[in-house]
Amino acid sequence: MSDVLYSVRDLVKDFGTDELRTRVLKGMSFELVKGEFVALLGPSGSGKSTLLTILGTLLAPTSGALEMLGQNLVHLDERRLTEFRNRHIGFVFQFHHLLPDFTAVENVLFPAAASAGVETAEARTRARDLLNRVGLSDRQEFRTPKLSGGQKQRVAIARALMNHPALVLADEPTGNLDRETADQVLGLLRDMNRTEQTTFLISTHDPHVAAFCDRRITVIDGRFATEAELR
Amino acid sequence: MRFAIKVAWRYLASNRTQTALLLGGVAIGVLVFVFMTALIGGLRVFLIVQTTGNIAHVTLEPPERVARLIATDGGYTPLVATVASNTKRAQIFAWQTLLYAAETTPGVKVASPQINGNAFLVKGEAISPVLLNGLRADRLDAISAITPKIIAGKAQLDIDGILIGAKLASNLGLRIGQPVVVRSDRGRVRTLTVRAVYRTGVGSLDERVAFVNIQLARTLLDLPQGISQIELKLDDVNAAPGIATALGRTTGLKATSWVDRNAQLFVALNSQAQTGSLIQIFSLITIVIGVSSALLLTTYRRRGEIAIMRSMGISRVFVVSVFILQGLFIGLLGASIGAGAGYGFCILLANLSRRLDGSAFPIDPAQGGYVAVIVLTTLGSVLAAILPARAAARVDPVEVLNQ
Ligand SMILES: Nc1ncnc2c1ncn2[C@@H]1O[C@H](COP(=O)(O)OP(=O)(O)OP(=O)(O)O)[C@@H](O)[C@H]1O
Ligand SMILES: [Mg+2]
Repeated sequence: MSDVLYSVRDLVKDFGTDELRTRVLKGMSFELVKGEFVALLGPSGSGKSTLLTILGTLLAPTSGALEMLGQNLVHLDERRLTEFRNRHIGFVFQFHHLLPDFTAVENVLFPAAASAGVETAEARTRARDLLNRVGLSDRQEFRTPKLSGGQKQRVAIARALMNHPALVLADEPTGNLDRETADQVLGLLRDMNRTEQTTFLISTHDPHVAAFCDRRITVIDGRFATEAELR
Repeated sequence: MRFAIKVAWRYLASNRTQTALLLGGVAIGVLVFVFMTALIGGLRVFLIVQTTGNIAHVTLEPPERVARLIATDGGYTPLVATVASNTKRAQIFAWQTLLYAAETTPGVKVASPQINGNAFLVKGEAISPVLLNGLRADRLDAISAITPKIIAGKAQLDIDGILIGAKLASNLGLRIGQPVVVRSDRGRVRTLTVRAVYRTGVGSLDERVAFVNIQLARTLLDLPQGISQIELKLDDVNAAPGIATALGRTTGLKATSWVDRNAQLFVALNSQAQTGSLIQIFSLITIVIGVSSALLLTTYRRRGEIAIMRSMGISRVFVVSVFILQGLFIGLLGASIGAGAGYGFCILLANLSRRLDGSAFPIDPAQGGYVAVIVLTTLGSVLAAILPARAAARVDPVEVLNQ
């Protein structure tokens, strides 16, 4: 059995129409191995967020091959992509992006309940368990606007893990947090990586975060940087 | 679905002011609808009761003698024909049988056989033309209630008495108990006694009509066997056209319903109903536009949240159903509130109207069209939610999340 979770071949992404076409991703190939904890580095505007949204099936590539869990993602229709994303991929954004009208626990179980159509007892248990693990056992019934930035980000992490995804894509998850909170959040991600065998791809500008990861890949101007370029 | 209901409900509940305004708007639209429906329904009943209260619902008259072919030689050349003729008096023969048939027809409340004709009332030098209406003594009030309108004397149709209108009485200077000479257009002359004077408020009735016993009319108008017409009152005025057609067929008489004789009332009622429908349609359109624009605004305000949901892999169907359900709840709730308030408002006006004189607002709270308005508003509201829901489903998660 292959340990490859995600394989990307010759990924190209253009933005804009004919005359104003700009190539943001200029042919990227790489693989993510199951259970990896990877940092995605690169200067601002190099294409990190674009890469993450494409990997997360929110955005279609201009060309190239994407295969995750043996599933070719390029030719799936919108409905199947949505379903695939729901089952196998979790997102954590820089600005948590929680639903303000719902409590912490409702936010966490949302991805499960909305796709199942009902709020099951198991989902509730799983959501509570995740919130306990991110240290929010006493904030479960709080509406999210009443939580602090770090607490919100921890709810977002719990939510990303709700459906036992194989891959979590985190776009600068600590970019908005102070050092101490950032470390706490990073520790949580690592903990989830260990306990649930979830693969993490974390984009960051923070060398501290980069050092914390198993592996670092760097994007410069839409291409992976070689070892030579990095030195 | 159950979770979509929860989300839709939460969205409505978390934005109380907007939801309250929206519900209020829908409720007011529904209230207008209910009020118009109850008013037009009530007005219709009121006008029909007013109209049918003092007239025959079905009138049976001698058949019109129309020229027609009796025999042909196979379809082309007429061989024998009857010709429209005025040489014989129009009358209903064998009327006892026909009266019995009419009286026993289901839906017929009472039948009044009548002999009518023209006459002059003479008092000294004064003379006045009248329509003599010969009624059976026990059917005096059957078609139009005369007794309650009597201002002097007693409602009594005997063989030498006459009931006259107040205007006629004053024209001829007649009082109760005084004699009056009646000369019919058949040349018969009798001296009768004024038994009662009535005032109906209808000019022609108070000045140009006099009531006598049918036996008296028979001699005065020289109609030894037949009668002029049979007037019927029915249990249900709306059954009149049907019963008229049926009786016309079975008796061979010319049967007309009050509906035929009051065509202009129905023209008025119909144009009134059309005005009402127009107001109803506009109040529904207003509701639909209101709900649609409010939800569209909500969709726009919640684009970020929709994007988050889509990034979590939540289907477009779910997003659409959340917004459709919001439309459904607003429609159902707003319509129920509006229908309840409309009912209360109609009861209030109906009571007020009854305390005044009964015709200020002939509103009928029972005819508010409540079920119809709730169903229509809910449907309209759901339809109104389609546009916002589709806009919500089209939100591109990347575009929003990148901001
Ligand atoms: N929708 C779009 N249309 C046009 N250009 C876009 C679009 N989205 C991104 N870009 C461009 O693509 C390039 C890469 O953007 P991206 O957001 O992926 O960078 P990034 O590496 O995440 O930067 P940062 O570290 O600042 O977040 C930028 O030059 C950006 O202007
Ligand atoms: Mg970025």
